[in-house]
Amino acid sequence: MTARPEPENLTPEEEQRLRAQLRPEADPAFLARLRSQSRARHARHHRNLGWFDLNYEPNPIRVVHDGELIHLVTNDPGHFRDIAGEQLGYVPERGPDEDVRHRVENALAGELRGDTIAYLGELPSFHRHVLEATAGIPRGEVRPYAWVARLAGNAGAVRAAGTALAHNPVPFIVPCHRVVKSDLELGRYSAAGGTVTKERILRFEGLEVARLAEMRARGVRYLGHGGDTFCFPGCGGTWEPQDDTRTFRSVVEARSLGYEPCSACRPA
Amino acid sequence: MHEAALITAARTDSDAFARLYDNTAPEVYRFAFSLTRDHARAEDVTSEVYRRALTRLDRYEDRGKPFVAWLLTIARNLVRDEARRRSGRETPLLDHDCRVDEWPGDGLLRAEAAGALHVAVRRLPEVQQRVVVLRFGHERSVRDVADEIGKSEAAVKQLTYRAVTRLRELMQEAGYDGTT
Repeated sequence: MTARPEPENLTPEEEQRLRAQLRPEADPAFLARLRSQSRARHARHHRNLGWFDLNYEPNPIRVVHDGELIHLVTNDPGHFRDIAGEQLGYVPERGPDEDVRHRVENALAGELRGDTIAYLGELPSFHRHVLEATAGIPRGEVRPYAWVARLAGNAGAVRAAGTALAHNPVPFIVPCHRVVKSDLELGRYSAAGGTVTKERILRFEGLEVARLAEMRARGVRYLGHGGDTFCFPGCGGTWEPQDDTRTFRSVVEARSLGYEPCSACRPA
Repeated sequence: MHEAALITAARTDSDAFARLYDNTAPEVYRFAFSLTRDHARAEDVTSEVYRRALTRLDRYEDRGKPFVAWLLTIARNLVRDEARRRSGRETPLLDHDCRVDEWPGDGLLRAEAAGALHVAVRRLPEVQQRVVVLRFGHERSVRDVADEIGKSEAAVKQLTYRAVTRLRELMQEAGYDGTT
């Protein structure tokens, strides 16, 4: 018989702290991040990058990769020399795409694996958290910059979140086009074609752009469902108002009427 | 693939370099932690080891030791250099990768608390140190620890009790109220 070997005089918090601070093993998340970072650095140092073009329906894209990780994506192959030179330090050649093409296609379909992108490990950590939060926005939905900043760990850094997204090295893969202004205006887009491209991709993904614009005109920010939960418009694909759907202009208004934030889209 | 062949391949091939990393990183980290006794610093050291390994691999010579020994030497030199720099400067460097949502002092406070805990652990009687490190650091069971130090399970529980009581006092003396 094995008794549970817990010392009687430790609080759970103290025990957790002791374990965290005395454990000699690396955090697995750290090891995975450093692996991707080291591999990516090696691939750049030895110029082991190649590119392939993908006929993604809203616009063709060029993907630069090292055989495993994606380093750069652009929808502007005409300026590839400039873009690659600036971001990678040299201009790679076209290369075999092996199984990377499949991973890119999955990511574009909404199934991004955490170890797909080379850059996340090299970025300042707030930028990385912004891209990770953005990667979690479901296809067909949008979230405000302020939401991204909050999920990245700094609700006040809305402008910094915008800057991080403007420098997203892998647009479309990390769907920065799904981030909009707080009043639901689509806002800027850094990839070629700007806001026109942004709107085209969002429509392609099934976002009801016209309905979003109509809500924006009425000052609506959130929708209440079932008498107790409020969401971003489009959360879970719900655009059609039901009998009990309510509209709110602010989190304060929603909360004052007894509605709680949805745990899926996390509007607050 | 034999290690020597993997090392040769890793001079140019990124897959091979990643495999070398997989084979060695947990050990490099454990070694870095044993030198620094601090997870944030051990992570910094480990990152820097692979950054240097990448550019110095061309100059690596197989002297009959496992490859990881070369990486551990880089880690040891890094920690030594850092200790030298620190002794010449009072203000510790802020972690360049600290999250912007944290006031920079937060990370330092936590690192300081972790440091204070390690100092406190070292002030415990030798046998209590071993019990605490084995049980919490290595997550070993009371039974394992009892076997390892040659005492009964009841004695290990008793030692843990005393060690934790003493640690709490030492941390309070050092100005930590248990919430840090």
